[in-house]
Amino acid sequence: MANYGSYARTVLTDFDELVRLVHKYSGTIVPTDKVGASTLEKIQYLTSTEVRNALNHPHADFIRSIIRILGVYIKTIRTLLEQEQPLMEQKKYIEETVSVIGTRLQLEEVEADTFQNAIAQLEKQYSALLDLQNRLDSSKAQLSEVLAKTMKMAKQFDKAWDQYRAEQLNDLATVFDEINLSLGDNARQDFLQQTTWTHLVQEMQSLKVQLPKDVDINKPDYSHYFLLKTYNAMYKSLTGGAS
Amino acid sequence: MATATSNPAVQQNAKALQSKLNKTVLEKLNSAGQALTHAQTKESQGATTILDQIALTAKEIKSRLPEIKSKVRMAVVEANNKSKEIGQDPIDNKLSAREDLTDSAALKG
Repeated sequence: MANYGSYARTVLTDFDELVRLVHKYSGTIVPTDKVGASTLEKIQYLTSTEVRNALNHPHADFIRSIIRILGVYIKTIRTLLEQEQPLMEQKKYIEETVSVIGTRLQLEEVEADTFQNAIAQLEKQYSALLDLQNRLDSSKAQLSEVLAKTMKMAKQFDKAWDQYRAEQLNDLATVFDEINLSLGDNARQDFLQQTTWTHLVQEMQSLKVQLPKDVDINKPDYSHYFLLKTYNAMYKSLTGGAS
Repeated sequence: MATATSNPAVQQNAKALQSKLNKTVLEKLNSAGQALTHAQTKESQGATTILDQIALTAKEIKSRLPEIKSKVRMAVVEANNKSKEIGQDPIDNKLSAREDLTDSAALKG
């Protein structure tokens, strides 16, 4: 699993939607007074454990994809912004230089073709700079679009997991009826709710239930998730175990 | 599933549950989830492709700027030299001073 250092976590913290996802998939309970907190405050509670736990989830591939996209986005926007000032300075320099030459040609007795080559070259480079500026502006606009789409996509992907999970859990809830096990209302509600993988494993451990051999707690798949969710509900229901 | 609890009712239910959640059921659950992940990965690749193109453009802009700056400088040096030739002040005094320093250093070197 990738190691997300403090710099990466600082970067992640800049994107509210991603912070929300990390909190949701890691099961972090955000204190209400921290909602809408400044970036500096957010860093304090987006820990490496939270990021690790969020990514250790059967449906975490989309979070990895979003992180990768944001990584490229940040690198690219930084490269573009770093070029902006030198580009503008160079344009201004050409404008000033051409203006000085123009004044010189007007006020002093200088033959018109004296600076012809230099002016032609400066104009050519000015035109090249304009082209770069257009491409830079267009790239920035495209980046904004990609960022907006990515954030929208992150929300959709998360919602798709909620729907998928709810459908599967509703189907699986019938299994309890089939084996004549009656879950109480609270247990049933708890079963149908989102639980993080880390929390599921912790609950099974607190119930002192050994996990199936093929379940790798560091590489959970969808079946492991639903399996643990179901067994967890059964054990809690029969032993009166609380989460 | 092995269990730490010795409650026979729990063991009985665990067995019943195990038979209901057999390999076929679990594989179906997993493949449906994987299909969802696969579709999402494919969709996110669209954004990655666009980003990669923008990243290439950004790199190109970055690499072209020094080249343009160098050509601008050469053009101004040429204008300065023309000015000197006709006995006038350089077009860009600062650049001219820097050029003189460079020439001087080159001579000394």
